[in-house]
Amino acid sequence: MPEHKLEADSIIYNIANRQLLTDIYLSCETGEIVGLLGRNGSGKSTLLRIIFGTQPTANKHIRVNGTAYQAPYKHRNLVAYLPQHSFLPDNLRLHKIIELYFQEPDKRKAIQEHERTKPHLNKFPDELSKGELRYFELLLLLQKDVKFLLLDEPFSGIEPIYTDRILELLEEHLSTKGFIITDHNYSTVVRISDRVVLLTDGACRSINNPEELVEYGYVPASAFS
Amino acid sequence: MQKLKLYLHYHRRLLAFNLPFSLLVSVVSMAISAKGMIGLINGFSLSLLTGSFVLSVYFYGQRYGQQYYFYHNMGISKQELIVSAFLLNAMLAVLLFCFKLCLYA
Repeated sequence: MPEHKLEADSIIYNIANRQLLTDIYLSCETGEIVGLLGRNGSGKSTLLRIIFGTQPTANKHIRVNGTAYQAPYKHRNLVAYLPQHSFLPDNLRLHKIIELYFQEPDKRKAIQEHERTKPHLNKFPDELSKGELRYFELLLLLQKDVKFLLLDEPFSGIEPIYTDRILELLEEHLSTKGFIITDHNYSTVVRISDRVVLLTDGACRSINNPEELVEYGYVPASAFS
Repeated sequence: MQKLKLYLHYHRRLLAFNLPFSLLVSVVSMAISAKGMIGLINGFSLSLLTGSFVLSVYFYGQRYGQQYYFYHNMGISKQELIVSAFLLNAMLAVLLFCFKLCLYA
């Protein structure tokens, strides 16, 4: 399977008179999970939206395999984004959403016959539990032929059993996709990530061992004792 | 074809906000117009393409703003959605205009 590389470079984002992101560089390759940590308001979601291409910003340079893209989401098969809150229309049943998203019968079948989706196909998104909904959303995006997936708080507010199920899903697709994950459930992010990056003071800092998270004041000293 | 279905879906979502406003404007327009039915069609068409359309985009953004990512993940931008919805409304207005011509031919 060919390897692909996503690079987000020279990202500057100003909010009011404050520079939230100052000359950010972040990269991800297929087969890799990059964990992006940061405190509330540090700009994690903003950074993901800038990479996706939906957030206008003062300066950015997004490259996939060396080719620059102004709005990567407009190019099919490049990048998909799982936002913090559900993005599925609440007036469509799940089977209808699958039909709208995929024309290929094999992709439709893969989701429709998935053991955890099958019982819910006739339901509306708001009839699912938060874990079921998050799982379905992820399953939907994973079936797309994109090279990179940006996951904004995929584990937020869901029960541990679904956290493990989501991790299983990511592992299944790791050979063909790269993931950038941000979540406040830092122990899970640290556990599953090949690389961890901390977004602090507007810059990305590589974390080589979890104790550095204490040094940067992201977690309390008791977290690793 | 797949994109067209998504455009139509977004258009239907906007219509849920747009139609009540446009109907209200058309009823008022009919009441103040000398030619009742023409006033109704004119008011409805104009509102569908202007004030009610702007309001529907605004209210959709307020209530379902997150759902724009449903379309973004299929490569469709917000601007494309809004332009497509406007064009579909314009087609509707043209049909109403033709209907008006037939009515008074």
